Amino acid sequence: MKLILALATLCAGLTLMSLFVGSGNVALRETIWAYFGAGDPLVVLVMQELRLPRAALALLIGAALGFAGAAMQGFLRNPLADPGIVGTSAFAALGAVIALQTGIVALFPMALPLMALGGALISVLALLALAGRGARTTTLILSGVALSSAAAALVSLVLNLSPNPFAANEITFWMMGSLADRSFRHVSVALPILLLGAMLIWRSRKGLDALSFGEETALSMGVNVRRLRLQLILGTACLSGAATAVAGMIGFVGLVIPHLLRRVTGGMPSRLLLPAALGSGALILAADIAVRIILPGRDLKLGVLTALLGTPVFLHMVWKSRGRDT
Amino acid sequence: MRLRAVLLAGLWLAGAASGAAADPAQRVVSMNLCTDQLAMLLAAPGQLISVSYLARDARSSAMAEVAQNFDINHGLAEEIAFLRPDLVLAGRYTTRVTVDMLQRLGYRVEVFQPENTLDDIRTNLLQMGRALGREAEAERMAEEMQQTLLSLREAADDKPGPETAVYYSSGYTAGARSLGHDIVTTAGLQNIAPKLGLGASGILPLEALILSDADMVIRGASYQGYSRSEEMLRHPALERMLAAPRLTAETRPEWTCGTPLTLSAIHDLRAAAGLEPLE
Amino acid sequence: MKSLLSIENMSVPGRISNASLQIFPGEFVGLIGPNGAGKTTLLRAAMGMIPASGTSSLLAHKINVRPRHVAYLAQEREVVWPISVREVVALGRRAHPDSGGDDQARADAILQRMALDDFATRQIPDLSGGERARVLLARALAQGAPLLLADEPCAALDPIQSIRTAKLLHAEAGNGRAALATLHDLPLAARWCTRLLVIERGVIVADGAPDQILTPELCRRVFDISLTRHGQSWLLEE
Repeated sequence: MKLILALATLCAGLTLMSLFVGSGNVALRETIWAYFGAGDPLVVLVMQELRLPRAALALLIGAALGFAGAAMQGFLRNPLADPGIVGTSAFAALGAVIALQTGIVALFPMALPLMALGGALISVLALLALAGRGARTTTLILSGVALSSAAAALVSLVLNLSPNPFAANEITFWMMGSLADRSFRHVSVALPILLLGAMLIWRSRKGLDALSFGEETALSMGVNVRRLRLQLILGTACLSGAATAVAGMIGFVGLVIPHLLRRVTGGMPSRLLLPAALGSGALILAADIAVRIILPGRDLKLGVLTALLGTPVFLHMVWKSRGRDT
Repeated sequence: MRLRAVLLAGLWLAGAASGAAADPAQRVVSMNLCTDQLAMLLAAPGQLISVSYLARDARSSAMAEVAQNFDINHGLAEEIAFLRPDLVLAGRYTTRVTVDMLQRLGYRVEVFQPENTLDDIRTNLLQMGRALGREAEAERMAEEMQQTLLSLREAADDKPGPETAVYYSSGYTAGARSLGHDIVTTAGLQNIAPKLGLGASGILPLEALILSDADMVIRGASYQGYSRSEEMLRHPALERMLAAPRLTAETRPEWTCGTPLTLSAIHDLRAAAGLEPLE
Repeated sequence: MKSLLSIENMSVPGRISNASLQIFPGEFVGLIGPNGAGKTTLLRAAMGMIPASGTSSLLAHKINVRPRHVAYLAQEREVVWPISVREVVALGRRAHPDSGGDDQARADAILQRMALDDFATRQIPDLSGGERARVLLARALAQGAPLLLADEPCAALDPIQSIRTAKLLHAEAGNGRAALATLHDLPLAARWCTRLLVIERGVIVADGAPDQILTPELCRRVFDISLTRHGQSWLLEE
């Protein structure tokens, strides 16, 4: 409880900070007034229509990735599972890119997160078919590598086939993720699906605990494993799908934060969910503040930072898990 | 050190020799959107046999209709070799490997620098004239262009026009030392990018664009395929900024490559900004 | 007396054919048979974990209330998360949401009974295979169900812990509960089980008290060994 409170405070602080960081040089007082709609209408526009949705999305998407990572690890019973590593984000990006390039999105905005959700769903099902549940780390990672590279190649293919010559520039956005210049439109298309995913996972948290002992034991403990599996697959697909649809692929967040927080919360998957969501929200907020401070005006991609932070942790975990597979 | 100097001198001589070929080329293939257009403007009938596929795309080529009269290529070495050209026209940023390969195969490749200013157009026009053996035509076209350019610059110097921001897809802008910047300035507008310290082609954050309170916003022309990079051109905050009385315009294919046609885009830009037309 | 488990004509294609059995309170039933005979399959089918024809009385209960009728110790002993022993055992009480605050007390009592209280704060991935097996058995017992199905409860245990585990299940049966456990250690099974089921190539070939069914012929035919009784204990020879 204390941990949750601390993380929530951190998120609140970083959200506030995020509202005051940007490329434009606006005085602090003017910025504050602008959030209440007073002052230069252009400043109001920037604060309310650019910085506010950006901060909101950072928090939402971070939380979604942390939640999805923690749930996926519990589900696959492997601490290395993460939407980015097992290829779910890449497939979500593929769905989103197809939705954008075919122009469906122009007719029906919800098509963006829904197609991304569809992509994410396909990847989870493919992962289960390839690696199975409770998969050994090597199998899981190999399957993830295969799925990720297939999806990344297809994303590039779709963008290369696009009649729009600028589309190819988008590959970096989809592969590395960014929150630059997002709007409330993005919040509104992502939010319903993020909430649905979070609800599905939240409802399966007790089952997730039982699943720690394997599916048979979970079933004997009164868990409807088949329904649980469905809820978790759909839930993680909703979360990583909607997050990727609006922010691109931001890797390693769902891996690093649950891994670090597990030392504090203990191993019970249900107890990890909320802290992981808050911690990841804080991480994305901080990273998004950092990209604006480190290289202002250059649109440094968010995923670059998270990958730089995440890779060492990931390598450490791979190193540690080597013994277990033999 | 000395060896290197000798080599460099040799290369320079070879380059100079290829630039001044005795007989004009008979089978010319262009593999770059910008050389396509200069070549179509200057080549003698039958001299140019193929242009790049982009030349036919009205969204990036100012001469898409003319390009229908030529075969197209996709800039692949093999494809170009089969056309048996005696001169290949390439841009500085045409894939290096392809150009090397063609040169190794013994084809004469004339490489053009991209036009970063309106003055570069004249340089490239004259280079194209020499390459095609059409010096007189090039000379005449350059002279004509120079006259228009002078009167445009005179008019531009008269009084400072509206402050203008250029916003391409993915948030790119026309920074100082870019063709877009020269187009905007010559049209009599003040480009805000240099003031914001943006170089040749910097990224203009939407936030900075809105806070700049520019009098005029020129957006990148939209392609049909809906995409994320163009989504930014329709950001609700930008739409709201533009809803206020503010001048707007869109870029045109003439902005992509510097050719004599670019000058007509400048005239149009003046009109969009409400500046009085030149005769 | 009402049976705690009743299986009728249960078949799993290629694995089990036409198995029927009943288990009553007070019984500690050992399910024995050579490797691959279908012991685990029979337990899984009884729990509804794999598709099977025939009936198992356990499946009449809904999944969410089934843990009040039966506890299950799976062969899978791997737990990846650092969960403390105390928490693991307490999870066994989860099927009784309305039993109030004595859950932890009951879990602690089981830990004490199994001499696991020294481990209570240790984390399960840090334990040895045998220790982990006992903790998971403790979790199943903490469930407080009248019937326990245990898949190899004595696997990976050292001799003394094997005997203690068998005695524990025997004592549980004495308290009016029942257990059905697959066992490999025949002398142990013969010594502590109240009844044995012998399964061979998916067919239950013998069912009765150890004394009566462990004939020299059956031991030779099914296990290709010799098992002879000396007082309370049994001697196993080639």
